[in-house]
Amino acid sequence: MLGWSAEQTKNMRDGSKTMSKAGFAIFTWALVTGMAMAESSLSTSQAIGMSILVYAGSAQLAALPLIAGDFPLWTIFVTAIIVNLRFIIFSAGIQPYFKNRSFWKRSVLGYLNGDLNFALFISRFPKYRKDPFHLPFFLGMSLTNWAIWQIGSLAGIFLAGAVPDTWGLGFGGTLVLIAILLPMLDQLSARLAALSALLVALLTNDLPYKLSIVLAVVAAILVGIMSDRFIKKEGGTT
Amino acid sequence: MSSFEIWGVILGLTVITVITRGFFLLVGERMELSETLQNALKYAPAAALVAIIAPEMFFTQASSDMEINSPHFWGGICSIIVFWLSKSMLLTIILGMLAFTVIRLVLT
Repeated sequence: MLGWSAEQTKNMRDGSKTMSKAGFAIFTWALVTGMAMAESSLSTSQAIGMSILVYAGSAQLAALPLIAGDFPLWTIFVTAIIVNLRFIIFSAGIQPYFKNRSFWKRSVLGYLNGDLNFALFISRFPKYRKDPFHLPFFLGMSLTNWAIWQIGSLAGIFLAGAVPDTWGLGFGGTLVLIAILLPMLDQLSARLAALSALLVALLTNDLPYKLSIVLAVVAAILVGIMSDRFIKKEGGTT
Repeated sequence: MSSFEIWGVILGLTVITVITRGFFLLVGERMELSETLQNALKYAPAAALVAIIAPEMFFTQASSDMEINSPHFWGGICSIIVFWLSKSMLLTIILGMLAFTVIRLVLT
């Protein structure tokens, strides 16, 4: 395939194996996302379309309550961009490895570069040096990730129909977001930033267009930067 | 929201996935993210998630008054505690949903 050497094909299989180790976690996350989509205001074909095209669990889950609440499209798009900001930083991380590929290939590689994919790729190839195994390993990982995700998501979409609405399975989507959020709060400044976001989000909940999200983000950035500076200063004097 | 608008949302979100995930792969070395900006941006995704999660936990769909004696609130609190103790997404979802369901049955 693709004129690869045996060694490169082996790296593709390695990538696939590396991702499979997280297979259960990916499957569960996808299953719950599928259920949350099916329980929301999306039709079955829309839920399938969203799963296959959007392929970004946290942005999908964040969009669902906004779609249900009939918020304007731009509110949903701004929210998705903010939730996806971390991917822009990830894309800078893998840029050196794939800079010589065609525009078309770079678009596809970027599209496939989710959270797990990025973390596992960088831990396998921490420093850039010329190496024919970047692409096979990356593709092995990301295609495995894609397949497990879609199987779990489709299973969730179809299983949700068998469960009564009163069970509130859609709430599982909120729980997944909690499990994505908490590991991000690994430092004091991140915790203070999140706490300020919580206060602002609750106080501004009545504002139109979910402006509470934008205000919470601005508050968190300000508090985060200030506490970063403060902690650095304290650390310097002691 | 109409079916047409929802498909618009789906296509828009697809474009957003492609642009954000591929951003620096696509613009190449023509642009560089300054360290100050990177530091500022790192707080944004968590804050947006907080602002999405909070209303689901603290408010009921029916009113805009804060209501914390709800299955959503206690289910969320339970899942936070479980994640802190176990670091497992699976346990967080299962025990969070369990707490949510038990409290829903008790409160109704």
